[in-house]
Amino acid sequence: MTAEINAKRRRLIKGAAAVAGLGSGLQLVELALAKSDEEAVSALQRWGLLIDSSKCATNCTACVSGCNEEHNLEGFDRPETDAQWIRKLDLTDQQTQHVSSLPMLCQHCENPPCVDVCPTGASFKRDDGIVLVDKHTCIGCRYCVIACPYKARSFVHESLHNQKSYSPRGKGTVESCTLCVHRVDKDLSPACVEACNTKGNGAMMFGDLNDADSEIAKQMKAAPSRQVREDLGLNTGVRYQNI
Amino acid sequence: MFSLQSITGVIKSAFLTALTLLLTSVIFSGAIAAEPVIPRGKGEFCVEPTDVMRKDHMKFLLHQRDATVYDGVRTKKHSLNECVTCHVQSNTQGDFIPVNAPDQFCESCHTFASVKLDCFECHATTPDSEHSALRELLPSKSMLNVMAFRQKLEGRSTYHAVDDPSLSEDLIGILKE
Repeated sequence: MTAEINAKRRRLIKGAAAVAGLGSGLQLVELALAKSDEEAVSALQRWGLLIDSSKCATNCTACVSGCNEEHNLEGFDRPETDAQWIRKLDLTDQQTQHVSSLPMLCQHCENPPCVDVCPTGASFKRDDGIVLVDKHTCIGCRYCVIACPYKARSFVHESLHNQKSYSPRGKGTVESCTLCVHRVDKDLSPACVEACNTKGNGAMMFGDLNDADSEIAKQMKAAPSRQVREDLGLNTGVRYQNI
Repeated sequence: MFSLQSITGVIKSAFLTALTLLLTSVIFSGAIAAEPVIPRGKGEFCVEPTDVMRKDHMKFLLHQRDATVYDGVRTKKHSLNECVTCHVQSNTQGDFIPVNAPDQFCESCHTFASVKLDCFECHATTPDSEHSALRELLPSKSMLNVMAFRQKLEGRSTYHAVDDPSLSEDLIGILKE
């Protein structure tokens, strides 16, 4: 209920911003829009990504390194088992030999198979659509790793040190992209999106899919976008253009 | 046969007496774990009264953990990160000492109470910033390297910050501690 009121209030403030909307006023409104620390997330938002494959360069891995840096995903020189929250994929059209590139990560499905199969309820979807693992209850069975059609999940095989305070990770649990939930809760965009925009080619966009006025929703309305494996009916929160 | 039995009996009773003596000496020699070292946190008070925290800190953490993981509530009052930030100690180089190191706030008490501390299998044991406030007061590592190099050029083999006349007495006091 409180969340509902808060979200309404935010929309109102946003409306006011659209009217007032210049110069330093914008900054104030941004601050007012940030979710307060006490406020719980609500289903009024649904966070998602829009990735334009035509802008994504085959040799660029800015998003991957941005993610690794943010969450301190150190490798152990064992590519088969090292944690990987984003992978860069190059797709070649067999007919035309056209190569397109895209980042593959947790698709934050509305109907996530990883949540369906989890025997302890550790794999769950937050009200705002972000799919997470509660590592306190994860027993490391890895059913979700098998269930995910996008190969988005990793299992931590080794004892870890030097974790970031906002991104706890540990041996014996499954993990995947958190959509940088610690940043989203502060109204920031995920680290991969920021890296793509500053060091990469600006192929990734983050926003609220439920808010018709958001940049991402407008983009998705204006041009066609696709879900990977849309035949599975998972209604992914990550959508791709030009693939 | 009779004598063999009696010998066995004597051995048995001697063994029992020795065992009793050993146990008694262990109990009365004070061979229990050392009292925990509890360094003071920063600031005047903890987020709850000390006796409440001693008994119930895990309940606050458990409640906060679910609120944060599931609902994205990120209040600081009962957050584990804030515990670490407030109770972490720094060494003389100004680097943080992990709170789960043997003589530190969390671990010393948990060792004393024989309770396994699982939080830090996953959670960070120091605040995120690489150096504590003390580090800002001290010459940086690169600065120390420059100084060491200069000392070498002047014919002295090593640089000791404690002997540096350019550092204030307060800092040298902290370094010596």
